[in-house]
Amino acid sequence: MSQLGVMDLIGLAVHALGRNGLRTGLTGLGIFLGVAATSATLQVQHITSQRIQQRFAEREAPRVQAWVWRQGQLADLTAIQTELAGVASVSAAMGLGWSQQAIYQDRAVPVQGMAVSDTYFTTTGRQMVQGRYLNATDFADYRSVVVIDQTLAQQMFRDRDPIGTNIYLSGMAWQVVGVMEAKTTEQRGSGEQEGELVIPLSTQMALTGRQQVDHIFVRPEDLRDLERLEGQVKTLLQQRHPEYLQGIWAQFDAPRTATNVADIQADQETLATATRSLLGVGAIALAIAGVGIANITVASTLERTKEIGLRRAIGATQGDVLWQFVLESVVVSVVGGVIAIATIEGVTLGITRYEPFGLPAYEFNGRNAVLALGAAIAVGIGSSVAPALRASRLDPVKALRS
Amino acid sequence: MALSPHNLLIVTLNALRGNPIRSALTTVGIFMGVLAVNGTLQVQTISKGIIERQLNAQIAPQLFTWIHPGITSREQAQAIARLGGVIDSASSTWGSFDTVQRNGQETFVITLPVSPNFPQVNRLEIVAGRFFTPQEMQDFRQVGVLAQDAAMILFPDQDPIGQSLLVRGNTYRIVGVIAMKPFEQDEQTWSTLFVPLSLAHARTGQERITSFSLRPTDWRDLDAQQAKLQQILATQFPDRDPYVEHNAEAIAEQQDILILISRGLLGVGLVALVISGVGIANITFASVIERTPEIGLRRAIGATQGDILWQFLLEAVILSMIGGMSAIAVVDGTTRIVAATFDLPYTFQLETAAMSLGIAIVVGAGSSFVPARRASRIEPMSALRSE
Repeated sequence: MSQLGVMDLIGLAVHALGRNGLRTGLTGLGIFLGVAATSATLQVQHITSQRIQQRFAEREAPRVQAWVWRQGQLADLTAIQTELAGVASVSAAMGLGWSQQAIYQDRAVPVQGMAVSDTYFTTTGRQMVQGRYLNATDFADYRSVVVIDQTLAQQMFRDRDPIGTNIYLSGMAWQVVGVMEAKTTEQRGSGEQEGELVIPLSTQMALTGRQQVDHIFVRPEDLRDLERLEGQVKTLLQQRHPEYLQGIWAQFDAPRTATNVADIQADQETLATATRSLLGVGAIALAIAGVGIANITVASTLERTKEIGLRRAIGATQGDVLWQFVLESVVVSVVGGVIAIATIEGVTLGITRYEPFGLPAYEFNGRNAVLALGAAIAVGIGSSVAPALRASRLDPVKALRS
Repeated sequence: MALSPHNLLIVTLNALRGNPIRSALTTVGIFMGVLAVNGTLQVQTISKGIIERQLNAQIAPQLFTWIHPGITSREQAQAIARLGGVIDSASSTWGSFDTVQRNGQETFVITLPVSPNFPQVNRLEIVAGRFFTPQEMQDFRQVGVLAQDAAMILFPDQDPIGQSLLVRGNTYRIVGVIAMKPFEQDEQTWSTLFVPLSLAHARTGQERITSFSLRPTDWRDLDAQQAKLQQILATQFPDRDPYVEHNAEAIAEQQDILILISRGLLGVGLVALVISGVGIANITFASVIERTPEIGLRRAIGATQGDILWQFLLEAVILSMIGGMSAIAVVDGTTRIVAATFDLPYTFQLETAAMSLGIAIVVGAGSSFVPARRASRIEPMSALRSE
C-alpha cells in the first residue's frame, strides 16, 4: 500500500459510495436481508435451546432406568458400578405396593412413593428445599422416616412446616425429615398434581421381608454415554440373571430399560435438524447477496475505468485500486450487517417481552452477533475480490484512453 | 409496439449475450433464490409423506366410543355403515373388578369381555401364546388372555399358557399373554384379563356393547369423523349417552411442529428470492446508465418508449426463467436421488414447480420494472449527447 492511510481509504470508499446513493442503497438492502435472515435463525436456535436446557433442569438427572420387577438385587448395583465405564451413580428402588395414599390428620392424598437406596439423591440429582436427605443412620437403623417433595408438602401441609411431623402410609407412621424439589417426568409435565415421597429401602425390606428390588437407576457421568449405558446395563443384568432369557421371560425382552429424558432428546434432534436447514437456506440468501455485490462491482469497475486510469497515473498502486473497491463493498456489508443485527435484536427483545416462553429475560447474545457480522464481512470481501483484482490489473494507459 | 415480438426477442438475446459475465451472475442469483424456495417446498412435501408413514406405523389413529347402557352388534354395524370410511372396529362391554389369587400370590384384575380383533384394532402386542379366535367366541369358550404384569405375579415360575385361572367363580383357560400397562382406578392398580365378548352376552342374556374403537381409512379426517359419529349415535340412540373421542392429539402435535419448521424455511427461502430481486434491480439500474447512448440511438431511429421498457423487462424475465428452470431441475434431480437412497415417498409436483417458476418470473419482472421505466423515459437527445 502506498502513502494512503486506512482512514483515507475508508473516506474515499464512503465518498464513492455516496456518489451513487441508489446503488449503495440496493446493495446494502441485499446484505441487510441476508444477514437478517441468518441472524433470525441464530436467535431462534438460541432461544429454543435455552428452553430445552430448562426442560432438562426440570427433570431428574438424565439416567438409565431398568425395570427389574422383584428380580433385582443390591449386588447388581455394585456390579454395574464396577464393571461398566462412565457410571456416576447407581441406586435401586422398590415400589410401595398397590395402594399409595399418604394420610395426614384428615387429609388423604394420592402419592407416587418408592423405597430407595442411599444413593437416591446423588443419582437423581434432587436438591433439598427443607430439612435433610435420608442419611446413613436412617438406613442402618431401619428408621421410619420419609422425604416428601414440594408438591406433596403443599398439598398436605399448605404453609405449615412439615419437618418433624408424622404422615401415615398403609397404616404406619413415618416422620418427615426433609422436603425435596418437585420434578417433572416424561409422562408428567410441570403443574401436574401428584406428589412424591421416598423412604429408606432398608426399612421397607425389613417390613416386607423382601430382599429384591424393582427398579435400578444408573446415572452416567456424561450425557453422551446414556445410550451406550442403556444397552450395557441391560446386557449385564441379563448375564447376572439368566432367568430373564428363559421361558416366559424371554418373550418379554426383560429387563425393560429406558431413559428418563428420551422425549427431550428427541426434541433436541428435531431442533438441530431444523436449525441446520434454516442456516443452510440463510447461507444461500447471503450467497445471493454476494452474487449481487459481485455483479454490481463488475459494473462499477467498468464504469469507472477512466477514474482508475487517472488514479494509477498520479501514483496509486495496484494494491490501492484493489483495496479501494474491496473496501467499498466491506463498508456496505458492515453497515448493512450491523443494521440487520440490531433490527433482529430489537425484534427478539420485543417478542420475548410480549411472550416470554417461560424463559428468563432475554440478553444480548454476543456470539450470534459476531457470527452474523463475520458472515457479512466475509461475503463483502469474497464477492468483490475478483472484480476488484481485475480492476487493479488494468493497464493505466488503456484505461485513460477508454 | 413498433418492434415485432420476434425481433424484440432477438434484440434482447443479443444484449444479454453482449455482456456474458453480467448475465451469468444475474442468472446465478435467481438460480439460487429459486433453489432455496423450491428446495424448501420439496422438503415440505417429503416430510409430510414421512410423517404419514410414521404415524400409521406408531400411533394407530382411532375413534373411541362409549355408549351407556350399550347397544347390540347389529345397531353398531348400522351406525358404522352410516358413518363410512371405517376399516375395522373392536368392541367391548363392562368388565368386572376382582381380586385374583393363585398359589399365594394376589393381584387385582379387571375381566374385560372384548371382540376377537381387539388387539389388532388397538395395536396391543401379544407376547406369548395367542388371542382367542372368532370360533372360540362363537362357541362361548371360557378362554382368556392375561396382561403381562398379572401373568408375572400369578405365574412366577411357570408358563401361564394352558393354565386355568379362577375369577369370581369362573374358570378361564389362559391361551395368551398380552403387553398392556396396568391402569389406575379407585386408587388401585388393575391388570386386564381379556375374555370373549360372547360370554358377557350369554351371562346377561342380551348383547350390550358399551364401548368400541374404530380404525378409519383416512386419519386426516378424524375431527370430522368424530363429529359425524357423535351425531349419528345421538340421533339413533337419543335416550342413551354416546361419547366419541379420537387420539389424534399426538398426530396433530407432530404435524404442528413440522408446519412451523416448513413455514420458517419457506420464509427464509422467500427472503433469498427477494435478495435476488434486489440484485436484479441494482444491476438493471447500472445497465440503463451504461447503455444510455444505445437507448438514445434506438429511440432516434424509431423505437418507442414501450420498446425500450419491454426490452429491459424481457432481459430480466428471460434470465429469471433460465435461472428458475435450472433450479427446479436441480432440486427435482437431487430430491429424486435422496428419496431413492432413503426410501422416501416422492413424486414430481407440477404445482410446486409452476409456483416456483411463477414467483421467479414475478421477481424478475417486478425488480426490473422501475429501472426499465426509467430507461424508457430517457430523452433521446440528451442521451445521444451524453457520450
